[in-house]
This record gives sequence, C-alpha cells and structure tokens, in this order.
Amino acid sequence: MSELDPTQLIQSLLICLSGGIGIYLMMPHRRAFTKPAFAFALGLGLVIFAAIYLAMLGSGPRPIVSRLFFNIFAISSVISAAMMITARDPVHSALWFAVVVLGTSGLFLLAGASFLAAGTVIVYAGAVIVTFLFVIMLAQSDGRAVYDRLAFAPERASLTGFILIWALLIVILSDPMSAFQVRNKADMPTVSGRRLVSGNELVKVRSLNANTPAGQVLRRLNTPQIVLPETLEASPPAGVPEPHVAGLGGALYTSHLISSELVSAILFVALAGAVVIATPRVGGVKS
Amino acid sequence: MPDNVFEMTDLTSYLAIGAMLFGLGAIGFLSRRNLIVMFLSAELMLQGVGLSLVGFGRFHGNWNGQIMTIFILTIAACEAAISLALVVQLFNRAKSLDVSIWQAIREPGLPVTAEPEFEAEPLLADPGPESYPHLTPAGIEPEISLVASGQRAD
Repeated sequence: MSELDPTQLIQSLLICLSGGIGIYLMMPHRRAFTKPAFAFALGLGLVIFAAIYLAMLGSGPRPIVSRLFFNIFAISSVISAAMMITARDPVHSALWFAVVVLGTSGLFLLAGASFLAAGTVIVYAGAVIVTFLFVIMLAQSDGRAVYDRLAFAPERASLTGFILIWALLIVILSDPMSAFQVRNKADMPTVSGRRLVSGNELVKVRSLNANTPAGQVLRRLNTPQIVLPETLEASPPAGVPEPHVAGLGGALYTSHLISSELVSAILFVALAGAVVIATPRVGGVKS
Repeated sequence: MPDNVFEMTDLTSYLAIGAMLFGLGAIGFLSRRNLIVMFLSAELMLQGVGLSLVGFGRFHGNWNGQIMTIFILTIAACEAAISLALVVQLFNRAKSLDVSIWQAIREPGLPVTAEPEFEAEPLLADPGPESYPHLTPAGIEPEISLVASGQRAD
C-alpha cells in the first residue's frame, strides 16, 4: 500500500481530537469540573472548529461560488448532526435532523443529483420528521426525563466513534492513485469519458457496438450478449443530452428493475407490518 | 447533470463529510438512551452513506450512486415506519422511552447495565414567565382573614 502523508495524518488527527472532545463535552452528562452550559458551549466551539477544518480539507481548484455553497452545506450539516445527537429534548433532536437533511440535500444538488435532493427533502423533512414529531408528542413526558439528561458512557462512545472516523479519514485522504494500484493516472478516465451513460444508451450500446465507453465497460465485464426487445431501443439520437429525470428513470427501470421491484415489495411489507404492530389489539392484550 | 468538473478532491470532500455524518450517527446510537433519538441517529448514518454514494456516482459519471441512494431512502422510510410503530407499542407498555428498561431481553450471560442516576445532568429551570424567584420564608406567617384579603386597597 501507499505511505501515509504525515500532514494529512496530523490534520485528520486534529479533526478527530477536537471533534471527539467536543462531542464528549456536548453530551448530556454530569461533569465534576464545570457547569453543563459551559461544557456544552466549549464542546460546540470544538465541533465547529472540526467541521470547518473538515470542510476546508479537500479544497481543490473550483469556482468560488460552488466552493462557498459546498462549505455552507457541509459545515451546517456536520454541526447540526452534532447538535442532533446531543440535544436534550427529542423535539429539538428531530428538528436538528431536518437541518441535517437540508444540508445533505444541498450537497446532493451540488453533485448534480437534483431529483434526489428534492426527493430527500420531500421524504425526510416532509414525511419522516413529521412522523417522528407525532410520536414524540404522543410520548411526551413531563419536563425533561432522566434518560434524556444522561448518556451511556459518553467518553467511550466518542472515543469509539472518532477512532472509526479517523480510520475512514486516513483512508479517504491518503493518495488515491497509489491506493488503487490497478490504475495509474493515465488510465483514469477523462472528464468527457466520465460523462453520464444512461440506461437507454447502455441498452443501445450493448446491442450495437462496443466502441463507446459503455461498450468498453460491458466488454470488460464480459457480459453475454442479450437479445433486447425493440421497445427498449427508443432513445434520443446520439449527441443530444437526455433530461436528468429521464436518464435516472431509465437507469432505474432497466438495469435496476429487479431491485426496484424488491424495494417496492419491502415498502408494502413494511406498511402492513407497521399497521399490524401499531394497532392496539382489542381483547386479548397481555400486560 | 451540470457539466462542471468533479475532481478527486471533490470526491474526497464528499467522502469526508459522509464519514463524519456516519460516525456521528454511530456515536449517537451508542450513547443516547432515548429510543427516538437512537432511531434518528440510525437515519443520520444512512444519510452519511447516501452522501458517499452520490459522490462516488458523480465521480464515475453514472447513475448507480443516485439509484442506490434512492433505495436507501426507501429502506429508511420502511425502517422509520416499523420503528415508530414499535416505539409506540413500547411506550404504551412501559410509559417511558428509556431503552434501558428493556434490558431483560438481552443475550443471556451479559451483565446488567448499571443505573448511575446521580450522573444525570441537573435539571435547570427555564428562565421563562413561569419561573419566580424563590424567597426564603422569614418570621411568623401572619393570620390573613377573609375580610382583610378582600379589602385590599390596590
């Protein structure tokens, strides 16, 4: 494997140390040395430092506007995640999770996944958070319960979590070209070679020629030639970019058809299971 | 899909943010005791993984990352439905959202987690309109007749 860059090692260690100590201080727990509010503020400061440092790490040559928006979304989502897991009130926790979802949707949008960004906001912030809030209101305890003001072993949990994050960051930040020893830099596809290959195009290439990038991928995978029905061949002429949702839907319902059917079956089973579990049984209720 | 370049450094930032969200969700799941907060932490871990998948998909220029994230979204919705139904049932039985009540269903041979209630954060009074200054009683409590309290000038 590759040798580690010591500056990146120290950078990631700095991030994990400040983040871990910050999360430990923010967790609800009685500490002998200081008041909870002061410990929370100190920990929040450390976590904000870690989030800003983390967002600044991979700053490549980019346009300033997208860099700015990336930093805003990334820092806000990390800080909201820290606030979410340390909030004393579960209502606040659910609302901070909505902020995390908004931040990650912004990051999805910056990565070009606009349909997914809209879907995440609708599904999470629109449905899941509202359901969570309903349940929290249903199970409202008077005041703040003891179990909300007490965390299981916060020092061991933060140590474990940030050792995991440190390992992940070292793997992510180490030189990727030496990590993937199969490739060298010349073999990395260019930007035009990395353009989107939609499902329709994949089908067409599979039946027609193997000179396009998708065809080369197929030839490398050594898939058997499949005789395709005529209806799948209807696609816009070459050179015309497909609309975003059309390409996503095409890929979803051609190359991932069985998975999407399975997922819809799981959704239905979960619906039935939730109805069965949550409905109070009339009559034979034990305890 | 915008045509701007998505380089290795951009992928690195996406993976780093995704790893951080995943780890924070793991910490929340390990250390919080409220059932609902634990399930929210699990959803946070799913968000981190989805962010990494979208970054990978954008870097390699295909739709697979986004499609996997759509599947994750669906599974997360299923998980939320089932888990909230379970939480409602558990709350109806124990009248509490504490996860340590349900230690009896743990694996045989494991020790009981201690209940260090004295380590809980002290309950701070909210400085709102409901809170009044607490005065220490001094002297003898005067006798207040009904007539005297009704005839107050102010």
